[in-house]
Amino acid sequence: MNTTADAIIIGGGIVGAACAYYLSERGLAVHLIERDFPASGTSRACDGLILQWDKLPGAELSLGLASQKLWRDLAAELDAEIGFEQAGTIFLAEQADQMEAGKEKANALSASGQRAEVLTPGELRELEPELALDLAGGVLFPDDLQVDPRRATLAMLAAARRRGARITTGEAVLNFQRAPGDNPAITGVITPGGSIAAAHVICAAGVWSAEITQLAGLSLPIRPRKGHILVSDIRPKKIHHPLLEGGYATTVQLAAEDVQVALVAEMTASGSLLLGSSREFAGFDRRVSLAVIRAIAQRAARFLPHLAHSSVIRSYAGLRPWSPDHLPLIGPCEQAPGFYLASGHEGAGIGLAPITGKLIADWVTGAALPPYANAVLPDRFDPIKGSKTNVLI
Amino acid sequence: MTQQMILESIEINDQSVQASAGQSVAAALLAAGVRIFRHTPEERAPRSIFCGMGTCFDCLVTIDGIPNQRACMTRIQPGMRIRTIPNEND
Amino acid sequence: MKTTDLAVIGAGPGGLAAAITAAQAGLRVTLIDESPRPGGQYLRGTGRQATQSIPRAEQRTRAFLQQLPHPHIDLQTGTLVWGIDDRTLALHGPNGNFNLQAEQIIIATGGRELVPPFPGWTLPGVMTLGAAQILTKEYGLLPGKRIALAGSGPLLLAAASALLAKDARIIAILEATHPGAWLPHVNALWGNFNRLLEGNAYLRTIQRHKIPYRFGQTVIQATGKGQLEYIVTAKLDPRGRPVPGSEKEIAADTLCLGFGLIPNTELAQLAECQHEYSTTRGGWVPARDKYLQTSQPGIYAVGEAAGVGGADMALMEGQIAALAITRRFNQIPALQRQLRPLRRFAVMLNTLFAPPLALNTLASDETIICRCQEVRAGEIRQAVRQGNHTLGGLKNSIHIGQGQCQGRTCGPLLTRLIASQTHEPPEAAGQFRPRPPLKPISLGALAQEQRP
Repeated sequence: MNTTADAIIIGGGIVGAACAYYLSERGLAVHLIERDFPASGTSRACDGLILQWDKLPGAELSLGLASQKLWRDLAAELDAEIGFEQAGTIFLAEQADQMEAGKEKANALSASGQRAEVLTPGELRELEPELALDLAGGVLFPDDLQVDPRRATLAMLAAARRRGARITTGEAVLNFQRAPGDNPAITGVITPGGSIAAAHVICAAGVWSAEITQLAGLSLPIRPRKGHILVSDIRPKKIHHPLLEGGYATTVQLAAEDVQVALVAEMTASGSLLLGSSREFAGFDRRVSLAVIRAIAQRAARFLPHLAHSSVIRSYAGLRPWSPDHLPLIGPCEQAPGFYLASGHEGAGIGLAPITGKLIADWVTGAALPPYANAVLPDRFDPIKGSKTNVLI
Repeated sequence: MTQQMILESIEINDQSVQASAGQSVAAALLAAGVRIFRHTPEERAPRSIFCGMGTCFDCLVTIDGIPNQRACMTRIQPGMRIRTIPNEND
Repeated sequence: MKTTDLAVIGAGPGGLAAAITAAQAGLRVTLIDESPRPGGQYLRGTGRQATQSIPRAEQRTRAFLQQLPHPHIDLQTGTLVWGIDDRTLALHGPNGNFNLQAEQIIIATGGRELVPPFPGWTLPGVMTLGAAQILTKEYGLLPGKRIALAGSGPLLLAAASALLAKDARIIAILEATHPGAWLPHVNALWGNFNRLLEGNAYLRTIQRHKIPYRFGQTVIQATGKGQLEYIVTAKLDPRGRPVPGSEKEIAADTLCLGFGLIPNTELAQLAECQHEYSTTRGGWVPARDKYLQTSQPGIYAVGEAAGVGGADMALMEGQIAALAITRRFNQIPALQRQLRPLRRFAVMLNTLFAPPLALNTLASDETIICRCQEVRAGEIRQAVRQGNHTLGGLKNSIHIGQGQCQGRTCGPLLTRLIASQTHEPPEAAGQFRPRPPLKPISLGALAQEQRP
């Protein structure tokens, strides 16, 4: 069956859902295609922290701050429980040099209007009595947010649906429809259910975006960067803020390459504790590495000794869509008019989903764009073949 | 299988109890007349032993201060302190 | 790191038979079990009974057990296998964490009981047949004062017999199937006369105690304040649906339930063995070749973990796998011949006593299905109506299967709920994907450096 839409979104994770949300808000007829089920990919294999202090001042931080505001609006607008909390986060400094790094981040963020409070070891332990006694201190960022990524994805999709968006699940995009002749424009997609014609096709397929863009004859520098999470059952609650280790203190030697491990601890609404994190390139392998989860457990026990008695119930691995310059790819592709990218967010996908959706909506509707929109244009990888003159890693 | 008649002193909810050596914590609780092992986190529903073999995780009690221990998979030891999870709304 | 020629996981009949058979050929074997003593759930539920004779399978299992300690077998009890990476096992035992690198692995992790849910099934006092047997036989403790048993299959009578040996007051035994359904299966009894005799012995015991033993009936509700006080029984029509108007309320403080076993496949799944769905073998089972090797070279699966079939079959299979591993192939055909009638018998029992899908209608929308996370049937049925027809899809749209039991209890129930709603075959619902740790271990244990 052949149908039409104003905009097609490929991918039903949090970024795709945000695109659907903002595009449908502007009155466009949206059709989102998800090959599995909503939030079945990275959006349900990650933590839900929305940080600003991990972003470099400039385009990255501007994106982050704009998105933070949108998350606050969304929490009010979405008619569903999305686990939204202004939990703040605490940057933990194990050694003095990390403390210096923390203070730098505090200064950078204060300059942008975000609150930041440098903490002595005593002040740190007052906020978090369960922390080990020998840390160098920390920094509290009270404006950081937390959300349940899965619920938020489903809520945005539900809202989009109410505004007339069509959402197809269990179907993959088989190919693109092209304009006739030598015209490189993309005019729609072909799925097992039929073709859908649209003037705007947005790829929000996360780590699988490269598969999609290949159909359009473009290659993409987005690579999967694997992370692990442990889930621990802790009652009563033992920590009050999400806690993050400031640096990669631990490296796990695996056969393929070194894996970087740094503590991230986040309480969920249901009372379980998510413990991460790890970073490695392992292709699309989502098997849980026993050595890595051991290392995460060790970091957790180092910072929170009493956690030793909590039960680790399960673990999982997710794939972050890594981009070579640590900035996402958001916007139109000159090589394929009508085609847009909304991917490559690495570990910031949850936080940056709303601003991504809004920027895509701005691009599609021809609205005015903020200055930082340029920095995330896909065509900075020119042509989108994986190389760039200034690659920041 | 012959029954051991050696008794060990344990504590159930701060009360001293004599229990047969080698028993599981679940058996010791039931023998002491304690049928309700915990109340669930959300609805405070009472739970007790169900599968008896360590797969259902319903029989969770606190043993020597450590929560979430399967009563059916843990043997009693002399001096063990067992706590069931009360219904805080009672 | 510790190494071994053969790691056998599970020291029940299958695992014991495998370990001893392999050790006899000189292999270094590590035999691992989560329980403090070997013998599996099978021996926990055996011992002195009200019947006169000891079943053959129990005799053979004890014969294997008596060969421990064995110079070639490193017995690790109270030890959990919580992860696997290729052929390296992650273990947690009484002395802490350690890894074990095995040349070959035999998975003999047994099975667990299936209990279709109904209103009140989570009340204290409601438990499985296995739980009742363990309390009675292993600890000499009667689970209650007015005990009802309900379910289907041979375990029902075995549990009743165990309880009667301790002078339990059993007020009713309810077999959900109809005897008329048994007639087509008579030919499967050929070669299984000893099992028939066991069943007969249990029956005589029950008749002697004058206990109401009803066919085509089950419990449809359990009520009580804080614990079980009453059960409601009902007759079932030939399709397993409660007959309106047949309900009876009976005072009971204990209800023991069991409708057959589900294979414990979590380790085989984590090891990425291919699985297939078999209604005659208890559901999802690992695919195996004729030597019981799974799709993963060097990993074998035997006993209930690979298909429900009783201790006799587990003993045979344990031996076959060990003989294959030790390359004594000429000894295998004789065992395979003995296995055939056992398989036929198992298929008959599993078919005959399979709980009818209609039992899934017993759960009202308020009935808890996921016991760990307290998710009710209504929420699940709604999610299925919204198009979530797989366990993965359900787990994605509602919070389910992510508690301490990691879907062991609710997984088979969800499969049946989905099938009864969608009318698709049960295998279409897929499986939960196990991840390490296979059972919860403390963070401290996980963080521990490995023993050298």
